[in-house]
Amino acid sequence: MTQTIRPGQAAALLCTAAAPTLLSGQSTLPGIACGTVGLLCTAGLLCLPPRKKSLPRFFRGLIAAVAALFFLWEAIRSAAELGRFAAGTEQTPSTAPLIAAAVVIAAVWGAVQGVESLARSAVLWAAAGLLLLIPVGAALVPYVSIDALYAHIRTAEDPLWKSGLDFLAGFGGELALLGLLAASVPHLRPRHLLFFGGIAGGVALICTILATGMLGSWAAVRAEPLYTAALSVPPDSAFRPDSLYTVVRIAAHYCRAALFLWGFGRCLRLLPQQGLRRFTALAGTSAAVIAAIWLTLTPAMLTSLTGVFRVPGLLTGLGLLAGRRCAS
Amino acid sequence: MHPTHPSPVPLSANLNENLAHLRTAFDGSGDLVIRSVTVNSRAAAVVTMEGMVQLQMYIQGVLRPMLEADYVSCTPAEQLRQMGETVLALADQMDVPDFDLLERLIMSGFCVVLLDGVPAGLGIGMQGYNFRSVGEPSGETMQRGSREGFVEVIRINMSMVRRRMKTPRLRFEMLQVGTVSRTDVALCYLDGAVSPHILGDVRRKLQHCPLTSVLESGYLQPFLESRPALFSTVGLSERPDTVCGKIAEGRIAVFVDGTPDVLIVPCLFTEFFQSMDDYANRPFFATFTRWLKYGAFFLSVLLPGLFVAVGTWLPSFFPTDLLYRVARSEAEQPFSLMLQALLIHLIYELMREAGLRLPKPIGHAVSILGGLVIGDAAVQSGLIGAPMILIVALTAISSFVIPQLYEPIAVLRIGFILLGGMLSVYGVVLGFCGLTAHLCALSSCGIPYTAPLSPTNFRALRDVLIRAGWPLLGKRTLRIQDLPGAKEDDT
Repeated sequence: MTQTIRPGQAAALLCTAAAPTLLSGQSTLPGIACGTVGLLCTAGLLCLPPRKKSLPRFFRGLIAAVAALFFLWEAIRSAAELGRFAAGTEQTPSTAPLIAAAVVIAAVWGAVQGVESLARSAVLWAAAGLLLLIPVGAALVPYVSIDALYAHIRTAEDPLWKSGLDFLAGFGGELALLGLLAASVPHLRPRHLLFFGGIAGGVALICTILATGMLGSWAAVRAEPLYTAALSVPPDSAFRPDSLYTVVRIAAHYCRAALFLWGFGRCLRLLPQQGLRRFTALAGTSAAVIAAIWLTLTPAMLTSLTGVFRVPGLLTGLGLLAGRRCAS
Repeated sequence: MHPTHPSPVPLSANLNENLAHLRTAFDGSGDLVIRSVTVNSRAAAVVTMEGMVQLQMYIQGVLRPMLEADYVSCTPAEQLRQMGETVLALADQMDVPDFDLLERLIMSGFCVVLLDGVPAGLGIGMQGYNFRSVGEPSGETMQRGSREGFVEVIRINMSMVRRRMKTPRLRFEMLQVGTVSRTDVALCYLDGAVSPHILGDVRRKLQHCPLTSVLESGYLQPFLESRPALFSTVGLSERPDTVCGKIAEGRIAVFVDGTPDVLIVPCLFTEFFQSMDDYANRPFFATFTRWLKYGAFFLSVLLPGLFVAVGTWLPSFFPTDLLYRVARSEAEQPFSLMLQALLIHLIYELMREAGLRLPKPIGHAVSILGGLVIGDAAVQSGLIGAPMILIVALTAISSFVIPQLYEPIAVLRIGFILLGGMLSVYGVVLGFCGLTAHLCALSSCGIPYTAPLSPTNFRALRDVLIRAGWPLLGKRTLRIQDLPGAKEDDT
């Protein structure tokens, strides 16, 4: 199935999945630049030709199990984050848990359609997202303050290496997915990721600069910088950049959750019986729906779990690097 | 599993046995006509079906010459050959060795001459059944270009294509589908341009079609689609010029006897936004109308759902002035926006369906009544708000811009209204993402349905995102073979 995915499509798929993390502004501005370089280097490592010798079956099973749990977690996190975002933007926040559940259900549908379909969709979403971000950016340019931007860069609190690593750690899930895709997509090369990753990273950097320049205070930028900045446009205006941003964000979260659920399904292939695989997939997705609702209602738990799960994310990525075909 | 055709029964040298077999096969059917004659002191018979042949040609071209001719040959076989070569001077002739072919020919407007002592017959084409004359297809009218449309007779349709593509590379492959109806089906393609892999696949699917009767091309459509889907992966056209254009790109046209709708495979999603008018108009205007159609698709699918979502959950997204007007209008209605939208769309679909099936004069009356009910009475009675009427009107007009997509649009619209009413803009966007994933998962004869957008073929985009001028398009037109999935090793 994955044989027909083109390298460019796989790269676009990963970049779309990484978009929520890129746009959320979880690190400082210099840290994002530093972390992006680290991210591309790691991606390049993961795309090296696969090793001939694979890991023993036990380790492959272990890594696949960890990867499956991690992918499921990332899908849940994606849904819950969108649920939290909805809780802040909707007039009736009580619908937020339902929205989180809907994200998981829609993502299951996307995952069932296959990664080939997701890869094709990602190209369309990435193109549409970029097109939508252009008017958003253009509408926000008049509100950007260069002085505020300089002031922020001068007074960055965290050291460069720390914020860079922090940024890199946010992409544990995407790196693990890259390992899975790199084993499945022939001819996927680091240059493809450099090209698409460069575009995605550049867009994210420009967006963050715009937002930082508008909002000035880094505290305001850390959570949903572009959305927060988009609210600067008067609500009476006929053009609402925040609505366009919301659309981009929903699509990116959906893509991310669907891709992680697909990865979850791929990891289940190591299970011996089809019935068991189906049962595990059903149980996993049902648990994902419940967990997404619960985490939307308890944002503190979401934040604390995010920190915990970054470590196995990177470990999984390294595990996949060691025996790339383990989960495929 | 597919039907097995029994081996055909050969004709006997004994005329009486042949006629008895025919009478048994048709079991006293009233339209079987057997005219027994004596030719050169040998018993003969002319078999036809009533109403299928031209009576004048039957008498003047077959019976009279047959009876009045001087036969010099002596054996029955030579006499039958002489009949075909010198006596019956009609163009469309063929030997009939078995009952299977005999039955098919007489039911296709042929008469078959049987002579005692010859285990074969002589089929003579003299089709004389009534059929609709060639006219402009009502569903695909154009501002410029040909006014011809296909008719119900397959041979006439084939000739219309042949007349436009005067190349020996244009091939027609005749098949018979339907164990009972034995409908003539023609595969039409351009040799060298068509993908052999796709051609073989289409041929195999038609040959293995398990239907007993094929009365319309729609019967075969599901067998050519890769899987059940909301959007059709088989194109339809009633225009010979459209079909020729598609064939030139390497597609396959499937003609079915008895219907003017020709099936075209593979069919890609972007083709629904193209029309022959695009290629007759100037490129800038064609590009403009194409984008108008893309916009119309999004409007007709998403607008009611988005309006319900924003009006119900995020009214602050409306500019203040508009918000006051919408709020004032909605405050007077007893139903929620979602219910209003569903109600008005159901009324609209009822009116459309009623107008479609009724005779034209009554259909107009239904339209007027519908316009009054939807446009005025619903608002006056306070059931539905005026902004909703505007949204429905805009949606309906947009959906008519791309008539071939009307069916999926009508269903999707209802779905998006429900999603918007229950889950706000999030529901609409998630639904649209799911729809995109569904579209991207489809394929038509192995070619991704969303090609050339994704997977992207930049060369083909000049006839998708824009309509480039002919100097550029003419350099290298889109070929199906260039798209992924067209070759066997792609799948």
